Amino acid sequence: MSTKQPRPEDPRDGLAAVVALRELAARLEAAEVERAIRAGWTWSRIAEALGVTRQAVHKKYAKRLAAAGTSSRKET
Amino acid sequence: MFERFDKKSGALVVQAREEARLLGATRLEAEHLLLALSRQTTWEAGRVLAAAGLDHDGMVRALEAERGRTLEAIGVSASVVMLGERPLPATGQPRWGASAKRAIERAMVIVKARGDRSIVPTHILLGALQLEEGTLPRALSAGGVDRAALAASAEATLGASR
Repeated sequence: MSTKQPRPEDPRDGLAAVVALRELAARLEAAEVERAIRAGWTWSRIAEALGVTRQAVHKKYAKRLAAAGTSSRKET
Repeated sequence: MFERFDKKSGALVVQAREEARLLGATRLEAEHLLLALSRQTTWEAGRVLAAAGLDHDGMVRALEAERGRTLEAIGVSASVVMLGERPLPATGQPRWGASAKRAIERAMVIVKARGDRSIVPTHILLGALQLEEGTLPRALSAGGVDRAALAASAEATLGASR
């Protein structure tokens, strides 16, 4: 581990960073899943890349993407 | 818990859920309550917020400033933060998150202490302003807002307790 990695002194800042990172990860995941679907990736392939099951990623995003107007190509 | 909410407070919760949903959040948090309130510029509580620079845009800016600042402190650059990007809305109803629950609990304590009959949006604002830790108080301070002063002007609009 590099000692140059910044680490806030105040636990308050460190804890807030955890909250912000969770939110960032969630947003990034949604954006990347959407991009992959638009690029024609299958749910299985996306799931494999994310290290989760196909059911998990499909359950989490299929409705959201459909509502946002992004549809997957054929189900696999 | 909600039987004492007046009409506006009920509408506020509905709008807050929508704010959360549009941001892709699965939980309704205290910041969503204030985002919703900041849209209601004809309500006392909304006027008090706007006077402190927290109209809806102001609230969004404060929240983004907090997130950007917090992530930069651990070396996550603003370019990754995707501040400008439109989040993918969630489907379904966001559930109550811990901070929003806590804000409502504080609001109920205030209502009881004052002997007020129902929970109005200003009580919810006061409850939210009592939160000491978490995203909302941090965003308010990132936005240069004096929470105590804001609470004082909100409380002034409630008038004398009965």
